[in-house]
Amino acid sequence: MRAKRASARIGPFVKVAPRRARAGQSNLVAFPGRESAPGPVPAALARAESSPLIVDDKDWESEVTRPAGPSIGLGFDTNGRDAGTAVIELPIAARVAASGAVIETVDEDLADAVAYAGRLAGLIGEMLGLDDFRALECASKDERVVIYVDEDNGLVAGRVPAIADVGLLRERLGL
Amino acid sequence: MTASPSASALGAGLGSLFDLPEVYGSFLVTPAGSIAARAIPEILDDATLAEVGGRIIRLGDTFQTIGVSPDLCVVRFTEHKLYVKTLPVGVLCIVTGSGISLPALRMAANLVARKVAPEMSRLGSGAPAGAGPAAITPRTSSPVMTAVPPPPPPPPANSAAGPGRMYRGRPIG
Repeated sequence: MRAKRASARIGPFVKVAPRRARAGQSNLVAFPGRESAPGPVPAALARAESSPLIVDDKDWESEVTRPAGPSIGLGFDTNGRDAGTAVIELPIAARVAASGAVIETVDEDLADAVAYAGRLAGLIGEMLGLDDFRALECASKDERVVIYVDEDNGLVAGRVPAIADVGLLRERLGL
Repeated sequence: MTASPSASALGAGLGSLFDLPEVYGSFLVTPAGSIAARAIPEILDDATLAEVGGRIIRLGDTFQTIGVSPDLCVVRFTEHKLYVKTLPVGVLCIVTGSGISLPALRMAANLVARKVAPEMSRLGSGAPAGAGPAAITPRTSSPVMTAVPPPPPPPPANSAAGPGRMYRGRPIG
């Protein structure tokens, strides 16, 4: 009895799939930001649909999983929205997780300083009645240190020479 | 409250920052972390601001440990910014909205720094500079400016006269 009721509940969903297959429509869903392909399915994709593996020429994954390395490209703004194609290079000097774990650093003292500075900035904002800490730029005569909060609420820090043009980076981080 | 000449100079300097849109307040911090002058809404009491001052000084010290002597620090919050400018003696802090014009703010902060630096140096050297450091002249045109008297001294610690542990306004235990 219970099984019958369950099958009745999933019934409509199960019935839709063969109907779509019979109509020859693509089961692929267009993701936001990805060009959708209305109309007839391209021949290459139609061939791929008949096989168990879908071959996609474009390396979509590389766009969202940038390799960790000495620098990071910020293709997103501080709210996580896609902000276009401009890529700003910030040599990463330290990366500290939200838990406090040092993920990578060029200097142990720097990671400690970044973690403490991030905490202090958060407290300062809290005491002043401001909102969440997002980023920080500290400039001296010789260099600039930029710290920002990443998507995982960790801290990322980079050091750039004072003469470096950081206009785009500032704009992206809202500094 | 009658402002001292020193406080007037500091207060006038800070008050001029309100010429810029999206400037919500500013304050001056001595190297020891105490507040030399303030032009920020009263909702932030002096004790809280003093704690903020101490943390701002520690933030600068933190960067110095990694070999960066900060001249300028911009801290971005979701909808606000805190602009921290290092003076020869002390620090100038300005709370702004996120849409502030930074070039204009830089200019204004440089002018304020030039104006208040002598008084800050005097305060830093410990020379008598008039009345209490937290008292400044309010700018009447600004709705958020108030003259804030120095905080009253804490009551004497007398355990016998003290209320003891309280729960919901009633003494317990």
